[in-house]
Amino acid sequence: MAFLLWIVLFAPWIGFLATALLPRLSDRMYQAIHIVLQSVALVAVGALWSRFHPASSHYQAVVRLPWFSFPDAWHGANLTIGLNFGIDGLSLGLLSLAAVVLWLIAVSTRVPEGLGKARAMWVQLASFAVFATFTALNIFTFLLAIEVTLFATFFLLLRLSEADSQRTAIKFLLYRGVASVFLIVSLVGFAFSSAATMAEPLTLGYQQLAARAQGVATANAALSAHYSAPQWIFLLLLLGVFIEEAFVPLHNWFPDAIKNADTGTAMLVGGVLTKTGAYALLRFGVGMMPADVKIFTYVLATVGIGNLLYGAFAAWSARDWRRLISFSSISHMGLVLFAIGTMQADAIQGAMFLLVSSGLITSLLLLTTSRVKARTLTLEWRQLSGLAKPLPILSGFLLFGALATLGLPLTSGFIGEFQSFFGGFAVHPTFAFIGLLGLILSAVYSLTAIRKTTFGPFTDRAAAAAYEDARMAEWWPIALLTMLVLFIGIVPYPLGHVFLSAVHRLLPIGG
Amino acid sequence: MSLATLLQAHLWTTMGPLFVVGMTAIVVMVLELFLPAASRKFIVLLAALGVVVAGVVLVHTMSVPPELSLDTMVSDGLATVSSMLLLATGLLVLLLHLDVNESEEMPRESSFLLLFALVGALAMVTAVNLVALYIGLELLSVSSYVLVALRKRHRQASVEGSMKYLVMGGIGSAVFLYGVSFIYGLTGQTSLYALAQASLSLWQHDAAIAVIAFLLIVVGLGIKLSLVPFHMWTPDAYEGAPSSVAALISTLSKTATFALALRVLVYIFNGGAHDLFPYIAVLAAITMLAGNWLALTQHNLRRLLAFSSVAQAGYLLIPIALFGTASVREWPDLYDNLLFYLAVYTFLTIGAFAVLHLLEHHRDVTMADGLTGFAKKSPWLAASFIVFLLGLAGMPLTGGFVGKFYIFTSTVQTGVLWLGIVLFATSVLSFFYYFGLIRTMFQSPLPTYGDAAQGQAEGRTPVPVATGIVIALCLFGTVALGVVPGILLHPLALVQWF
Amino acid sequence: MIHMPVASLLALAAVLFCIGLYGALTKRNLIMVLVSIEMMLSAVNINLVTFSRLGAAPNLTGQVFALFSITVAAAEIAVGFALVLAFFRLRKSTEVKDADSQKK
Repeated sequence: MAFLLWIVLFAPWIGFLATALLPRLSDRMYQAIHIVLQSVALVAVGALWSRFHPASSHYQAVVRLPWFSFPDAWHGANLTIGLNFGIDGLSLGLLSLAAVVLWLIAVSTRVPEGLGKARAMWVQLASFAVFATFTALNIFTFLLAIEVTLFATFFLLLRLSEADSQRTAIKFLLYRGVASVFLIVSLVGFAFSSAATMAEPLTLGYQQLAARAQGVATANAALSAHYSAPQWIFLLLLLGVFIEEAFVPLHNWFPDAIKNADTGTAMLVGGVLTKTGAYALLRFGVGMMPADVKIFTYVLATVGIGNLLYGAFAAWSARDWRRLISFSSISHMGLVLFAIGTMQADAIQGAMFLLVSSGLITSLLLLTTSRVKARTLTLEWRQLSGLAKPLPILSGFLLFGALATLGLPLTSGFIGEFQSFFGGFAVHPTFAFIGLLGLILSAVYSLTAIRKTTFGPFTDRAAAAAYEDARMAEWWPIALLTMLVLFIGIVPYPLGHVFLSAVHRLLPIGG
Repeated sequence: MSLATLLQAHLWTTMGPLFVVGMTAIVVMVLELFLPAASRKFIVLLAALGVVVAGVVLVHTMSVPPELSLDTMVSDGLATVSSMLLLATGLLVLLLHLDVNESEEMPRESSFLLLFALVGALAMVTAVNLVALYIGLELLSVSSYVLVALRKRHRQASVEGSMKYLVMGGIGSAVFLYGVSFIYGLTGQTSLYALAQASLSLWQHDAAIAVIAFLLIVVGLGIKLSLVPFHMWTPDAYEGAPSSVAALISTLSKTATFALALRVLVYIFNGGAHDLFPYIAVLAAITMLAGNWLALTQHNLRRLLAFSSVAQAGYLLIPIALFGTASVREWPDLYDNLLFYLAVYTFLTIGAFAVLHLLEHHRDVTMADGLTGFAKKSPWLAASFIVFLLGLAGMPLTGGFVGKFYIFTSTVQTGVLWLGIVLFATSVLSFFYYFGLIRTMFQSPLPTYGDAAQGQAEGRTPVPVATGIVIALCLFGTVALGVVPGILLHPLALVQWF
Repeated sequence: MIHMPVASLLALAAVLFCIGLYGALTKRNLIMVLVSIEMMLSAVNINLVTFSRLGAAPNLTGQVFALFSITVAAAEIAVGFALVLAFFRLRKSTEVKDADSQKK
């Protein structure tokens, strides 16, 4: 099974190298290479699903690439640094989300004139890095992947953005750069501190660190106690996560990036990159510092619910689709944070669902609105009205996207929200109650947006007559996303099963 | 001293490279005086050959156990490894000098000064006696002052830069020496080994004077290392100097001075005064913060690199600052950290200055906005410049990342984590200007009438062979230390440092 | 042997050093700046010679060190005056304020 993970990781890496080194091909050729390799990765992720054993308590499909070692890093012992990859339920779910979104970026978004090479190169590097982020098995690999994601996306924003590219790119770089510093300091600090406290060898591997946190003996350590990290380590982690997930007031980079980026990069940022923060919180917070999560549960609940509401209000007051999409994503991530903070199995499973669902819905909306924008040349509501008549298919998808955003039953969002609140009411009933207000608001803002754009009289009849509705070639990727959202909503069992195994791994025994 | 004693084996073990480079310097000096101007290429190549021979001698001495000759020169791990790095630096700088020498129309008498600077640097890392260390420091400094002034194309900036360098450097030497004189007065010793023995009694009897001596020595070395707030000369000297000399003063003298600072501070003060080392940590933090902060506002490429090297000096100071809390068992790690990052920094800086030289000479670029369209016109050159900038910013897959990460693990291990946080936080600050440069390279140049056609015709920047080799070597070093850092980390771990 | 007061010799050196440092940082004429640096180095030499005779462990090393220091200082100042000369040829001035061609 490990070879499948090899393929997933190295297809985009080979694509990156090929694109970077092959001189002077046409844009089409670059795109062809990109699509082929991204499809290979997607198929390999699909194959991983068929081989995955949810019942197993080990990481699966483990790939180890020993790299180098820092001599005498800890009490005379070497610290071996390798690139280790593997999957558990959580990794698999998010890896699939990333593979789907990145594949859609390759096949369905427009390549700006003359920038085929730059786009193919940096998207594939970013996709390697994102896959590596979600499948890393040690802290070093994770941090390296985060840094590579950072600068690949920086170049995407810089080269491809539709407006104000320089400011957007630098802002992105600085915010997420600071976040990666917090992650580096907190995670390396965690590894050293756990080695010092437990008088064990220094290790960066997830398995051993999690075992120490839960007091479970592994092959090379006999533990009788469990290790809990100092609070400042957790606080630094939390700060990093807050920036990565674009939480208010550290969210400033995110709406800008979504608004100015080209569709593909916006899908990458909104659909995948904001999920890395939550992934880090689940993996390191819940999995390795459970005691701290419990201590700071009120902080998580406050920030989470605060963002849920703030995102909803900001989305309500938005004047165009891109802004609405970015703030609704922030709002969803607020709920994820709240759910994680409760440390309830149900809620955490819900949070995982929400991550996948929010990534899919954000991509769906971004893709649909990009098709609309290709016709109307704007996404501002005061210039859009009555689109349902000239563009029935696109309006239909837009409506579906809006309904999925507000978490209608039978869509993927519903399960996540239901489970999060189910767990939330058990621990923080007051917060959960206030949070429900956010759900109502999400219905208000998404339906307002729909009412303003698709219904009503058309402002410019002559222009409207010229609009052609989307053809098959344009709408099939959107339809595919729609089906995925519906599939997860109607048949949640496969994904839920995989996530449940992850929840049991992450939560300490009896937690 | 007769020739026979000069060639005695134990002197060669400790001073072999020093002799070879020194003799080459004298030969080159005489040749530069008598040979016609047309043969300057030959002379620089001869100088480079001398450095290579010195390297061979050094490799030969490595099999011999460490020795102490004349109670002054030593061939311990620090001396050998730093000498190796210095000779490599010298070779790269001389190769770069081959082209700079012609394009800058420098006076002929420049290669021998580079070699004398190298001799001084070698003396600084091999000597364990304060007198010899001071001579080495001054030999390096005085040669550098002259070298900075030799840029003919920008005569005035060059002389002014040199003047400022000389004044600040002179003050630095005097302050350092004043501190050293107190150390001598309290112990009657100038040998570092004897001082390490005397260290504890120093602190029991005359702590106040010893503290003053410590502060004076730190300030003096701080001026030489361009630590904030003693960095004022740095941007001016860098701006005025010929490219190869700028590369020299930012790498060779840094390596040598850091090795000297390590020896002096650790041997003399660590025995009785760990509690003073946190002040060095504060100095490192201020240097990292201010260096990066000042670089943010720079548009002149050389001044930007100057402030970036100030910031890098802050990173390099961290291992020295950590000696205060490290246990003796952890000392070798700190030596490893310092030398590894120095090696990485050397490659990055020389590479960046080599590209900058081509930019200045062939495209007349001195300001950051002159880089517009560079990526399109000379993709390979731009790509290597980007790698050097990414390395300086500490991005993965370059040696810069491994070096910073390695230093960071030491800060965690010795319990001075806050310094590690400052290290990474200021690195993010540095993203702003390094990535700003990269951003500019990808911008398309503003269309201006008349100039546009000329800009198109200008096309690719030509790369002379020697500079090309320097860039390729630096690129190789940067990437190799980032991708397979084991090739340097493990040999370093085996070194018997003291 | 005449009794030499070590404290007053050190104080002399300290005063000389401080005057030199002050001068080097504030004087407006380049030649005066160089003279100030010389004063700082002279202070060092007084210190070294004092300690060589009256230090905690008197020996000759201090005097040898002072000789080296004098030689090196001479070399440094020679370079310094050569630079002042070059500067004077370019700007017809030896004032610090005229060294302003570089961007601030």
